[in-house]
Amino acid sequence: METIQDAMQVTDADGFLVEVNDAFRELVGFPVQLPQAKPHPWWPDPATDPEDWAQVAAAHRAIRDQQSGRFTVPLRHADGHRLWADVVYGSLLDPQTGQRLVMGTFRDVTTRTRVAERAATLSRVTTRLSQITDVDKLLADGARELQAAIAAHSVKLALVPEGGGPIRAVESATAPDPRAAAALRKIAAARALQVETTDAGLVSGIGAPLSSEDLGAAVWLEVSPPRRMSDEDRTHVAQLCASISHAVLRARAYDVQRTVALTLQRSLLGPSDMPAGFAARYSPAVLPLEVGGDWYDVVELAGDKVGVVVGDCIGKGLAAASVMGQLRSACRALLLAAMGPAEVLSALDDFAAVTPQATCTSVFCAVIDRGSGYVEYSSAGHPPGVLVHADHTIELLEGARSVPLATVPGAVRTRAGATLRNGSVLAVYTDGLVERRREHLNTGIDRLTAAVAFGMRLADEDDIAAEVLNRSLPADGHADDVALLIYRHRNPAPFHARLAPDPTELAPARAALRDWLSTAGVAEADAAAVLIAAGEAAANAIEHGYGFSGDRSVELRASIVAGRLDLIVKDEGEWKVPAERGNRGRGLHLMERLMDRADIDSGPHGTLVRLRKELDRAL
Amino acid sequence: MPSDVPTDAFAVSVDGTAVTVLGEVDLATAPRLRSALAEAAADGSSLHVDLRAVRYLDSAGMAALFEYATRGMQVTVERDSIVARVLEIGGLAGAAAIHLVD
Repeated sequence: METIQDAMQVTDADGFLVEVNDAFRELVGFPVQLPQAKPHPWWPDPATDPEDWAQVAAAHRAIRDQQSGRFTVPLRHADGHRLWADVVYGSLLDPQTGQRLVMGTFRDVTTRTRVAERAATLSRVTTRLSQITDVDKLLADGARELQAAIAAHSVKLALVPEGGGPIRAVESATAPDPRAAAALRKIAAARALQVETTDAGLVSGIGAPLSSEDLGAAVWLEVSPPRRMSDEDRTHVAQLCASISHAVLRARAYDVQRTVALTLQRSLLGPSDMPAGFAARYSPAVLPLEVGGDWYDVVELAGDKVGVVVGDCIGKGLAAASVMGQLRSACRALLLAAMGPAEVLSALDDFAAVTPQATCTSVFCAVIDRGSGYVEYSSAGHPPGVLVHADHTIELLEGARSVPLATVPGAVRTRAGATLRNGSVLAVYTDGLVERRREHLNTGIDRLTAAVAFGMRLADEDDIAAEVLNRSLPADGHADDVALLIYRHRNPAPFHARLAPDPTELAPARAALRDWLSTAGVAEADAAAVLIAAGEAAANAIEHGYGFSGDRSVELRASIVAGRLDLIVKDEGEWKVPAERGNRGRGLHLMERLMDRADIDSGPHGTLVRLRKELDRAL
Repeated sequence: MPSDVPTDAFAVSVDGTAVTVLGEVDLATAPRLRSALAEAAADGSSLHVDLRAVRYLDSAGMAALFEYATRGMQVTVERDSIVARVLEIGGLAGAAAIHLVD
């Protein structure tokens, strides 16, 4: 038997080891006393190594059921490392007892198996990491892969910047180790694998540089508990680190390109810093691009005027975006040259005619006078602007409509106008917002109008834009670029009047308030109700607060924000609120019924009446 | 929105038991409405109060109407107007006959 080079063992029917050769003893590293009962010390521990144990158990079932066969099983060497054995077994009869004996020859295939395992791991990790373009995510995922690959307790993966900035570290598990940071810097500087060992020669940590060039990054793997690690293990770690390193380099290059691309793209887009009252939303169809063929622009002009442009170049993606950028700049320059919308579009016709791919672009161009609320506009084949007033009356800006840019030689551009009132919201947009397959365009415009009417109750124009986009776009995404520009007109300034405590002051104060409400675009019925409620409060202040006398005044203030009118009537007298329904009781009742809220705070220093009315409650 | 009636205008005319009111009835002008109602109701007959041309009427004006409402008063007011609403809220219908006209 000793002449056989392969390791060999013979077991009896009960699993007793009855014979082994020296090669077997050497293979497992354990002393063997014959006959030896199972479980043998080179078998994996079912408690700590259930997966390996399952393979060994399966092998035993095969031996029991079949006379001969072959399998590969994971065993444990006396020094703790995992041993892969290729086993060929056959059956023979004990010449003395007539019992079945099983003879197996063992070949150490650890290296071969590990190579295959590692190649598979490396390939998997490389493939996986190649799909990640974000450096932080890459570090996190790389750390996890490394940890799994070498069964390390914790892995610290970090980028150590050259010149010594803060370490950008990602930890896969457990608490940070103070050794790690120092070790990482050393490894990054030396650019060589560094192995930390215990006194017993077991590996407790491995540091590896994330390769080459100017990366200056390193990875730290904490191996806990410390264990033996072969040269192959170290090579494996180095290979994995190289893979991660390569992925990080690529991701960094991608980062740079992305930043360049985004900066350029954003320069094509409209301003992100908008004048008061304006808000925009932009959503390109082709991701990950941030621009498309649509655009919006807001240009502050001389006086109190603002130029507003929304356009749509044909096509989408980068090609459309580059045309869009040229048209947007041209349009901006034309508006700044104090041209009206019709003249701007005429000049754009000429510009588009000599600009490749720019013909057929649709544009809506308007100039808004923020003082008077007058908006002058012209449309080159663009969907109508939607104007919703505070009382929810609707106007479509569909006048002055003509063909898209540079489509008909000598096309005449005309202009039309509309007047914004206080609280009016104007929405200018591209067809991507309103067009859906198998649906008439008017349906989309109606949906948009309803969305504006709903959104205009919000105090912030940016919220209105978000709401409108949310309500207009289908939930399952959109196939076309979308641009949306919102403007809410606010005029006039809040109302303020001061009344002497004299009943004859009431009518002139109401007249002033009536004018203000009219200018503010408050519907007549709402205005009449507000006048009564305000008049009641003011009359109460005069009659009961001061008893028709004194030199103290009554203050009346009103403001409208987002379709909500707030009115304050303040005096310095003391109200006597009657329990019974007399003249005064009726007054309070009227205020409560005509307004949405009527609060009276009466104290020793005066009375404050707060009245509130929601002006837009259709929908 | 502004109508032909001046903002601070108030006028009331009495023709027998018919009282026609114009403009705005508030704390300042309600006493004049009250006088007119008193004059028209002097012989004890039922009043006919025409409020179609009134565009403002608050609790002071309503108080004046309530004083005479128990005498079978007929009130004419524009349908859907703020005055009709104020009278409804004030509950004048419970004390007088309200006629809504277009």
